[in-house]
Amino acid sequence: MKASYAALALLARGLVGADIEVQPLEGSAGTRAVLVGKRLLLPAHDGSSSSNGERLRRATVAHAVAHLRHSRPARPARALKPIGIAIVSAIEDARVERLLCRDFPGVHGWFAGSLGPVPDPLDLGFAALVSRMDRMLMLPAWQDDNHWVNKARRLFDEAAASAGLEDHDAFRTIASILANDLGQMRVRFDPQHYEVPAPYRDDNSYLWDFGETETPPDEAIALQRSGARPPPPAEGDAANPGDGPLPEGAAELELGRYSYPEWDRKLERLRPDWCTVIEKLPAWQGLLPVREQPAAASNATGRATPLALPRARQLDRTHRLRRQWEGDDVDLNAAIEVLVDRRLRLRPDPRLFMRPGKAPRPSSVLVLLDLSESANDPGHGGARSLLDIEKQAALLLAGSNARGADRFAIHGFSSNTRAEVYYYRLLDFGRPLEAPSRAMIGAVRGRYSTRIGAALRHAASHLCAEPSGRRAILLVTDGAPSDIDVHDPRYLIEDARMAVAEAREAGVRTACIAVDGAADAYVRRIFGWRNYCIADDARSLPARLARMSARLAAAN
Amino acid sequence: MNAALPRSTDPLASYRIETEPFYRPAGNEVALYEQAYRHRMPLILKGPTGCGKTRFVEHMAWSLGRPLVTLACNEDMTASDLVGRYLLDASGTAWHDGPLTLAVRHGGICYLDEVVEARQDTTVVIHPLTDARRILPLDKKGELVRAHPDFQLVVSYNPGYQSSAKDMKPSTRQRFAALEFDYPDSGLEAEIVAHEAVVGLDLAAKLVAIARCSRELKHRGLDEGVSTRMLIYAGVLIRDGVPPRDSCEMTMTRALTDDPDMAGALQGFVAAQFG
Repeated sequence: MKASYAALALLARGLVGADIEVQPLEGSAGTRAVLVGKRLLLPAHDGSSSSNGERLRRATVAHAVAHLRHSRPARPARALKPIGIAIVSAIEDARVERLLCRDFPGVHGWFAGSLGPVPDPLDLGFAALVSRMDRMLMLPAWQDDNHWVNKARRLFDEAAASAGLEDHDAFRTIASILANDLGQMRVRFDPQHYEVPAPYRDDNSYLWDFGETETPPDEAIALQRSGARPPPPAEGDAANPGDGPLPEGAAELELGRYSYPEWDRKLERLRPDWCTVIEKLPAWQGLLPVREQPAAASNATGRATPLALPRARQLDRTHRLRRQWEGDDVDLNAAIEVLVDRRLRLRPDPRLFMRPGKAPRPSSVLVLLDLSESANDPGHGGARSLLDIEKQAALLLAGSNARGADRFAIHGFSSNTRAEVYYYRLLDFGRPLEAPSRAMIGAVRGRYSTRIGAALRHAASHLCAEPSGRRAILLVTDGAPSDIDVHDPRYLIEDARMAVAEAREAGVRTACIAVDGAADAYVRRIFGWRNYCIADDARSLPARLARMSARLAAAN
Repeated sequence: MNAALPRSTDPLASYRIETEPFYRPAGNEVALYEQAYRHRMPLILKGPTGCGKTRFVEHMAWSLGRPLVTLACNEDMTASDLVGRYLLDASGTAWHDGPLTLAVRHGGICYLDEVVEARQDTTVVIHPLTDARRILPLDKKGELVRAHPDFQLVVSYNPGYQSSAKDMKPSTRQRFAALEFDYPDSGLEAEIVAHEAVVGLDLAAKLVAIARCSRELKHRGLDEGVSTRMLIYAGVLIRDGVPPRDSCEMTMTRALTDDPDMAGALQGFVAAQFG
């Protein structure tokens, strides 16, 4: 169930063509989904059997997609009475669903199968009437004896035929007529207890802007409660006792200072010795040795089996395989034996070729973790922070790599102005992944900002000390480069781009995994269009990291 | 010219294309190719998997009346696989031309499919062929083959495909002119699928809509979306009576991904068309 949010987000992404986050709706009693911007919050439906539940969730996503594709969000609600808002919303729901069914005929089945139960024909309450109207507008063959409901279908079909489904205003007009009729029929509307009848539809708060002076219907209150989800109560507290205000530098051991230039995009030149990278050991003494254990216990997808990494095979010309069935060259010794055997009328051994053997070339991959403050934010829908997921993914990768010949390191960085770019060598090349490294990785905290360029330059200098072969840096970040002493948003992006180019010239490839759905623009600018991948769901990070590092290790 | 030779003496006879391969142009690529061929200019065809690069070359070779020698490149391919090698026979060793040498000697179009899959030290053997010299030195044999006037080299590669993270050497790239391919727009792609799979245009349009959705997931866990070729496979199975959902499951969802979430999303796209 937990994993299916990722599947639903991918489904929505494909249907809309833009990134949608799908998350559980927490901390509210609402039973209808909420669409906020490009975030869809799904209520937990329990009691529904799994196949029905799956269809309901798909229908919910499809309905949200219909809004995103065809509705104009946040219209002023001030001029409308609550009953008007409810009817306009219901008509709008039907309109956008029809539009979506035009492009994706199969979704009609999802919607039709997820409608609520057929209301009692004697119930003339507001919710029952709207529910009957929903059914009438969705199922062309459905019959209902209520005059108002039939009028709704007639008006809707007329508007669709004359104005076309795209014409929002025409449908707004018929909604006003229908709402007016309900007023005349003295149907009571109780905004406090009304919820959209169809269980797969969202609460329509997406459509309306309630302003500040109006009292929003209680759905909007629910939205505000759920929309601004507070960060989960500091789950790190229990797991990481070092999270308290630590006296600066008291426990962290400084290992060395290095100066690096920085690219100024306005001057179009490198400012020499502009940034100071400070290498440090994180304060880890006496902390819980391995922080991932409690997290793993609570999460089934946690410390799973080591990742199966594809091994790059490279031809090694120093190593020749003789007496092969086929190959590039005739193995002269074997060929002579063949001819001798022939003269002797023996059966010659046909294996007389030679070819180069295969040997893995050493590859060195440095995983560079972004340890900025924002990494402490909770990952989507999970209680664990992004930093924890980053660390766990890196450890998993290191564990998988440890069995192979590849050289692997985990470093991290954060920055506090150009004078202090902190750099942590959490796991160094050639070091086994043992308790001290694990503890160090567990203890390091997310602080300050993200000055990618300086960190990349320092990481590249470490890699240049590695044995020749393929050398690569894999940066894991959650946002664009930034620092408090830089106000031009493009400055650090351009600097990072230069750092990537410098690394490439030094024979170090760089690639990036961004845990940020909106990262396309800057990540592509920095790393080039092939060298990045976006994990819009942090839980997919371990798999992406493994694939990306395998790619880098295999690169020429 | 070779075309006039009797079949029995034409060493490239088996590489000739007898019937017209179906190809629906999406732009002016046919005219551009003809111009490039007029000058025997080496060409790169780039574009995503299954968008019609190979079919395009086949079509052009057919329409120009040239034999087409196709080689699928791979990491283990060596220069000898391209140019040829000595083999042992009854009287000693004998030289056997490789496919590239055959095309060079006798005037075919040599098509190296997925050229980046070959190692860079293999692809450098094409360098002397792809500049004004148009020669192929066979150093092991001690022969210098001058290219037949009809010979042309065409290579393809797929820039979006990351798993190999390979690239062409700049010195190789610079020798080629390039044509960029992409999946055709929806209407044209539906026509192609309808024609190739022999299915109705409605069904083809639904399949194309599924592909469009899947292509949105590029960089989001898929290296590439559903290709035109996959759509044709799906269409063929549906024509044979396989239920659409099973057919799409088999030819698209399971073929593209092992990730359960991704598979779920792809199944969603299929269900969004076929219910």
